[in-house]
Amino acid sequence: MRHWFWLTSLVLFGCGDSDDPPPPEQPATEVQGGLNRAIFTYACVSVSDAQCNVDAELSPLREESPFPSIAVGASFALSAKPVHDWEYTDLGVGTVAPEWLGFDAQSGRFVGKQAGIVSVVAVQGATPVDFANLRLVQPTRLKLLQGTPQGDFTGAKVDLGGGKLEASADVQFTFKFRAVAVEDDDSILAGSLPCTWTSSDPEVARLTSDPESNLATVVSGRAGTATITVSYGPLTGYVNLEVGQ
Amino acid sequence: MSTRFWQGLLAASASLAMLAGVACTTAAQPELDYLVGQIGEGYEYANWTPIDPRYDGVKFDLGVGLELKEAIGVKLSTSPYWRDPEASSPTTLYGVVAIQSSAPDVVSVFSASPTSFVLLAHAPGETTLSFSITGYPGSIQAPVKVTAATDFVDVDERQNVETRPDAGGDAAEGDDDAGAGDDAAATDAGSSDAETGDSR
Repeated sequence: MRHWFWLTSLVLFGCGDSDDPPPPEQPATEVQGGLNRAIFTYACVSVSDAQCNVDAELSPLREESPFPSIAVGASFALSAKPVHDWEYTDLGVGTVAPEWLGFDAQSGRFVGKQAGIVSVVAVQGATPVDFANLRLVQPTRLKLLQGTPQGDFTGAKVDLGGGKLEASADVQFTFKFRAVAVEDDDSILAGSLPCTWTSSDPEVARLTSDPESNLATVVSGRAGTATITVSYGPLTGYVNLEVGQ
Repeated sequence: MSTRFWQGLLAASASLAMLAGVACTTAAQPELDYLVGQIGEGYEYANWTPIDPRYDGVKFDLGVGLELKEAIGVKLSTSPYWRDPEASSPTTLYGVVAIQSSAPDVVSVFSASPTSFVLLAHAPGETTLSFSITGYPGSIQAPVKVTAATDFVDVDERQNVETRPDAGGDAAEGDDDAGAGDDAAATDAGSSDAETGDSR
C-alpha cells in the first residue's frame, strides 16, 4: 500500500515545556551592564528557543547574536559574571519588576509577562552591583524556517518548492522545520514558548515527536485526512495530511 | 628700634586680630544646597527639566525632581554645590554623596560611585530621594515620580540641544557619564516606545 502524504503547511512552534532537557551549546549572547561591573548572559532553556541554532541543516537564525528581544510568554535563563574577577564573585540575577518579568527560583528561569522594557539586576548576595535593560515583545506572527527532511522512508520524493511538500512513504515520513515567533518588522524573538499539539484524527495521522525537539514525526494510520495543529495563544500553525492508498 | 615702633606694631596686630575675629563669626559656612543631576544609562526612560535647555539639556536641578518609567533602571550622576552668596558661581563640594529613598518599593537605589547611583523604578508611585554629602551640612530632597509604562511619554526635548561653554560658570561638573548610554540589553536603542502600550 502506498500512503500519500500531502503537506500544505507544517508549522512547528518554538515550543518547550517545563521538563525540557538542557539545550545544546549555543553562541554566547552577552551584554555589559550599565555600570560596566557585570556581564549579563542570555541562555536558552530549550532547543525550541529560536536563539539557539541547534540544527546544522537550518540556516543560522542570526548572523550574530546581539542580546535578543524576547517574546512575551517565553522562558529563558540569565546569568551574570563580573567584568573583573577580583571585584565580585557568585553574581546572581534578579528582576526589577516581577509583574513584567517573572522568575522561578526552582527552575532558574525567567518568563516575560508584559511587552516593554524591563530591567534586571546583578546581585552579590543581597547587594545589587549592576543592571541591564531587556526588551520584551508581544509576538505578532510566525515565521517558518525549513530544513532538509530526515527519517525512515522508502521511495520518498520531496519537493521543497513553493513552500509545499509532497512526499510519499510507506510507513512514516519525517520533516524538520522550525517555526519562530517574530514581531512586526520580522525580527525573530527569542525564548522558549509553551505550546499545544493536537491531531484531529490520531488514527489517520499520529504525532509521535517531542515538541521541544522541533521535529515532527507523523505516522500514518488508516486512510483519510487529518490536521495537526500547534497553537500558542492566538498564534497557530497547522498541517493537513491526506493519507491515501 | 624705638619703643614707639613696637607700640605701633602691637596696635596693628591687635586690630588685625579683631578684624579676623569679626570676619570668622559672620562668614557663611559651606553646605549642600544645590545638586545637579545627569542621567546616563537608561536616559530614554527618564524625564527631567533641564537647567538651561538653550545650552545643555542633559543637566537638571535634582531639587526639582524627575520622572521615571515603570520597571526600568537608570544611572544618575550628581554634582554637589554650595551657593556661596559671596561668589559669582556655585562652589563645588567634594565628598561622598549618600542617597536614601522614602519609598523603596517605588524606587530603590544603590551606589555606583562616590557621586553616582542607580535608580530602580519598581512600580508606579511617588517617592522622595534624600541626598547628603560627607563633611558638609545640608541635604537635597528630590521628588521622583514613577509613571506606568503605558502612560509614560519620553520627552525628547533634552536631545538635539546645542551646547556651548558657559562663560558665567556652568554649575554642573558631573562625573564622566556621557548622558547617552546604550540601552544595555535589547535592540531598543533610542526607540523605547515601539512596544505595545506606550504613547507619544
